[in-house]
Amino acid sequence: MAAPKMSVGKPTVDRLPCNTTSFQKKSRSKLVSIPGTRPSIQNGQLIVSTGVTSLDYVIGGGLAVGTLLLIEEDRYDSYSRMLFKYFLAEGVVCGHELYVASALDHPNDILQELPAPILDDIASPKTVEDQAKSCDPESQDAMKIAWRYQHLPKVQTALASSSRFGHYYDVSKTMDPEICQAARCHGFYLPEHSTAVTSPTATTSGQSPMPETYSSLLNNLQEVIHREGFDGSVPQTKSRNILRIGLHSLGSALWDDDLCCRENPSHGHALTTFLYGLRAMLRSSLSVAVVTVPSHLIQNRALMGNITRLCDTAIALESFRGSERETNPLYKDYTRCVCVCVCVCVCEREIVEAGRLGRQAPHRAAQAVRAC
Amino acid sequence: MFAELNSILNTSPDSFKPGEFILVSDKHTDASFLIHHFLSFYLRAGCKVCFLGLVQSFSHYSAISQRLVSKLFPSPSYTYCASKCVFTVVYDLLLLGGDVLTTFCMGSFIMFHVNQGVSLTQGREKGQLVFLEGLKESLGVLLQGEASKETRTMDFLRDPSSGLRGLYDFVRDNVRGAVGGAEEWGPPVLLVDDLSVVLSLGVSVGAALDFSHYCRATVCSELQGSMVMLVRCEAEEEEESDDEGSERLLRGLIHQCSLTLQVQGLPTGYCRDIHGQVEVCWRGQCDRQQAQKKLFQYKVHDKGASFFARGMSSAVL
Repeated sequence: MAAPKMSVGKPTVDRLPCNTTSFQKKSRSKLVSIPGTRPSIQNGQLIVSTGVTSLDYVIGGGLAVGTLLLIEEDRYDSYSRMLFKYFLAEGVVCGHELYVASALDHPNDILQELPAPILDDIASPKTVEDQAKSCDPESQDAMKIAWRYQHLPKVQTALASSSRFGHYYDVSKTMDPEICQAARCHGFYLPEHSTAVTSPTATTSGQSPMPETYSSLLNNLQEVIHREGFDGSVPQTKSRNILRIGLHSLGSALWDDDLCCRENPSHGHALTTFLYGLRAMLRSSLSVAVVTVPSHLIQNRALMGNITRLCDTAIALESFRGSERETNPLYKDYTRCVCVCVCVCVCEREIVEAGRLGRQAPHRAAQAVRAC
Repeated sequence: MFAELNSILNTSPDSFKPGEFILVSDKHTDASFLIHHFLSFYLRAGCKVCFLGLVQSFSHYSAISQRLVSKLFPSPSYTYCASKCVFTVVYDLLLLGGDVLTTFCMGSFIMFHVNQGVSLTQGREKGQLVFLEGLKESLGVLLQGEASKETRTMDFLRDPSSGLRGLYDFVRDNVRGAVGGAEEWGPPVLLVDDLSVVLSLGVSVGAALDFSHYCRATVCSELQGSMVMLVRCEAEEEEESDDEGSERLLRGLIHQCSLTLQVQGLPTGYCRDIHGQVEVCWRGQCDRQQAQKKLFQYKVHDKGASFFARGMSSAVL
């Protein structure tokens, strides 16, 4: 298994005292189930949602814990950034811990721009007094036909419970700061770290393939994973959780990497070495990572192929904005974002061919794509 | 282990040619299901296996090998025999009589799916399998960055120009078997999952070819063992430059090997029932007159893979 082997039973649904039946789903195993995850239908791996349910469908149910999703950015980094924020917002809603690394924007700024989750209607109990008090003004609203259900509680809006897998978000609003504060976030802002980095003792022979920026990011990430116990180092006193790692715009010039600037970069293997180290870290901890790379700037296609093969799942975004397709009447019905997917899944290790996916059509994912 | 592939290659765990260098390559697809096949094949054959797992963790291979079930006798209709007593009788007969057993029961054919999953953990404990977890070792090298570690196996991460000498030393030390210990295992086998990943990490093509040449000299020629390597290529539509690493590596390795299995996706695109095609090529050896090629299509499913001639997919027939 890609993740530390955990056979997760079906999560027990929170039963409210006012439910209509006395049926209680029994959890088969005694192991703790982590909120926001579920075992995959195909192979039993533990998967988390990316935040976009249609993308989950395309990549086979969700992101497996311990794997890496590569997002090749679109031209203006608009939709890849949105996917990035969806991923983080899903982590906040599910109660996962977040780790955000960025060289351009401060991670706190990114976290303030997360989309607001669409509130779910779940039933909550109303005490008897409340019901009695509210009886009088609502006598006009007393049910005449379905009066047998009069005593049941009225529906109240509350935040979607984390027992659901995959949520919907409203991009036009930002998430409430209180919800954001509830989530534990670790940030890595490169300008803050580059001054504080102490250069390690010079290697005796040759030069290290990774520039200091990537080394410091890898070290910081390992430190966070180890300190918070995602790699199993902390004894089982606290409940297990998933760490969602978001690394924004790796490979760009801000990370001191000339992969995007030249056809024959001097540090041609910096990003691939970093991704190898990241893969090693992910396989040995309860975490899942999303990395965005500005691939449209990379001129060397062979290097891009190497990068793609080191990731477990890779999608490329091509937005219509700024391309000639915007004016093509064929694409009039699509809402401007086309996902071209090339998935290499860890478990069954098959390649799913390109699927075309309308961003706002969650149930009409590509028929040609087979879930792995 | 895939029985159909064994019949295509004319091998079985009981009889296989010594000194083979098998190269598995893929283009636009993933051929690692063949690595799982060879791993369980050689473990079942009782060989001492040295596995360099550079891209996945040990638990990944372990989980998959336990799920691999070999379909012993393909048949369109079969039923499991649910009765426990019959199963125990049949199991004893199986131990004596080989792999395929059919029995008539109440007028219907019953074919037994014997779970032929191999346990890698057991193999490792018994000493039959030596597994290098490349990912785990690499973390130690990448994070500290100092030359204080004793193990130099993954040294190429720290300094790609030094080549794969450390990796070869690991292979050489582990392939020979315990000194003074009882030689209960068969000829040694080296399995490398994904030699092309070292190219992504900065090692030159020449160093990778040197490594495979040294390994072949030690494992195949000297110890009469076998070697299986997986190389992943990126197909280039236009020949941008001749220096494309993985193509050169593939060409060099094809020259060195004795049997190639080239896996490709279908040129027409994605298909649900046929995942790709495998071209098996026996290179001309001194005792064989000329190279022989065969082309098959395959489909990977949950518990294994099935191979069939072109156009003979079960979905089409």
